[in-house]
Amino acid sequence: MKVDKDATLEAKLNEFRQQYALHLPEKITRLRKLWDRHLAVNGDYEALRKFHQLSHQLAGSAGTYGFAAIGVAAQRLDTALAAGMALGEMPEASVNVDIVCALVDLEAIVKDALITNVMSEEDRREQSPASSSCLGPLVCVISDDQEQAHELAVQIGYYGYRAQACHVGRMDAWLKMHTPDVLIGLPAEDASEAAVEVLLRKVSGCLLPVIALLPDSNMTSQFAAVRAGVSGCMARPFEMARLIDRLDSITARKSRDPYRVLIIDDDLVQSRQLSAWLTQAGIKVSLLSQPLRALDAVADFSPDLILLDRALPDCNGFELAAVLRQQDSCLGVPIVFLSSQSDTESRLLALQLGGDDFLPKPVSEGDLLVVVTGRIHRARLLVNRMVRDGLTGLFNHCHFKEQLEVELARAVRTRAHVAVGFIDISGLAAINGRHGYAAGDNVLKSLASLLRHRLRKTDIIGRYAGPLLAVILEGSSLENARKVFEEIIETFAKTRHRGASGDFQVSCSCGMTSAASARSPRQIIAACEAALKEAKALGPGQVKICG
Amino acid sequence: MTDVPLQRVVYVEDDLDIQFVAKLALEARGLTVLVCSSGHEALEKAKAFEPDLLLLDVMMPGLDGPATLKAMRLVPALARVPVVFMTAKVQPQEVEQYKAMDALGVISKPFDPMTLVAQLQSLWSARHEG
Repeated sequence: MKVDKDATLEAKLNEFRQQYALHLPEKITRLRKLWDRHLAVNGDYEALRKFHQLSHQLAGSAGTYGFAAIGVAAQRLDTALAAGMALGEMPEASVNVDIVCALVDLEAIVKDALITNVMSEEDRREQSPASSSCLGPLVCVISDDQEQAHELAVQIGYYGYRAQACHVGRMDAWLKMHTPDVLIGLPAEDASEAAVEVLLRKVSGCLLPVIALLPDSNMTSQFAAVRAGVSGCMARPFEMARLIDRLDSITARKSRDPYRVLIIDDDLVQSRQLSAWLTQAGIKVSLLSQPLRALDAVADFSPDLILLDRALPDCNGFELAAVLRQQDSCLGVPIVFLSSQSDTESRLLALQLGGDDFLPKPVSEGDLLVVVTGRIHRARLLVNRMVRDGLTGLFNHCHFKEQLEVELARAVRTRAHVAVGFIDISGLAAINGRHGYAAGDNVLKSLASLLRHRLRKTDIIGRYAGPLLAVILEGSSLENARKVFEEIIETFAKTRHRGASGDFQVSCSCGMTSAASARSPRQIIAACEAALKEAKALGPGQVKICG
Repeated sequence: MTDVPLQRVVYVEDDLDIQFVAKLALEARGLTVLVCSSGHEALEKAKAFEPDLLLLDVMMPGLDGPATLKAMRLVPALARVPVVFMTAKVQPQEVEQYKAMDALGVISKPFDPMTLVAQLQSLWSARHEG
């Protein structure tokens, strides 16, 4: 009995630990920012106080979650500051030096810890695809109408944020105990302009990012918001999906997908050096010394860019580039050559054979980073345009099907589980008719946004057709996937939407199947469609599996 | 000594990360826990909860652990409830200082979630001895 309890506790702790690890980088970045602010204004006491509080918390929590080294490093920060802070004094220069050293150490340790943590990430995949969001960024809705604030906080919570409501009168006390990432100022619906301004002034006085949700869209209230110093405002009635977009961009939860570079080079000294420079810049690198394995490497690693040495064993770099270019999957991937021959002729040949750029050896760190990041940035923008659905930002029909093919092939190779689900919004046509097309679009956007937040980065979400969204859950058993879909459908049913004739709620149905038996994409899609039909026949909010 | 089992704990901690993991650890071992994020919140809610034990973080913004304890001692219903402190900085003289405030003991942070309750239990059952 006790053993059972231990195992459950341990499993839960492990889940918490993963969540904790996920948010460690944010904490470290925040420490760094606070410290820099403190230095920049030559002693910002408020920033320093927060810095101390955060390092003290980290000292206590990191070890408890199993990151002992991080805890010890944070403890150094805490100890260096504790005596001075107790007396309300600014630290002396020598203390500053200690802190800078400890902070640099801490940053390095966290980086290391996260790299090793990636291994346990693999185990986690099977466990729970929809990560419980208890440790997401903290958002606080501040209002003079507690009930409204609470309602909004609940809705925001569905999108993976920790959201809390707080009455403006209790704001100061609340902020002493919490360090939210974003504040939302929500004046009561019937608030006068003066009252709006008072509330927003108060909220924006605490030096955190603030989004103001104004009672209406008239210009005077917008001016009032600007005067109060908020960083962004939206007028009511507003769309949940847009608010979440704003929150995402403030908390930088999007675009954390690192650039990926494949280096094909048999000169290990050179490739290790390049790899070290790129890794330091936060880029993921895979090294390959045998050109004949290039196609597999591209398929496995899916690089954003390929660095190719001109001189290779078995074939030369130009030939390899020509071969790679014939693969559909490599069509949009920039190829950059490394060569000691920098004459115009070989440069032109490189471009002719499908290369995109040319770096003469010896390569300098600066040139490398400029070329690599610039190329990848543009390639990604382009790819985004090509593969994404304009309304929802999800993958479009074609690209989703391509991804399905890729995932199925991968599943056959690695024998991993893959589950595929189709989610259909019930009665979208009726919503369009009753509330207008804009409202229908918003429903779709909000489901897309919910999926993006509830699923993992590795899961693939597409807009398959009109009101039909499709999801590929990599590494998920059918049973796990069912739980995920059920939870998402349940959450979505609770989400409130705005329409021309008042607020409304929408449900959806889901049909799913597993790719375990290595079927073709066409069979998978047919199975999902059949399951979805069955689910819809049972009424809204159902999940059906077609085995 | 025959003893009342430890069942109801008021736990005061401002750091949400620690709060989550400690709550999990306490509840997994069958304790009933009232979690408060500040000393003020604890003062508001503790009396109605009728706790067997108070578990207080030392360093909190606003009302810190020792100050919370002092305020609680003024509430008749809470005046005699045993207390355990939790703190990141455990110096020997500090432990003595807390014991002088009639604390049963001090649990240092970081702690091991798997054995947190065992630590509390042993402080609990030794409470009339020291």
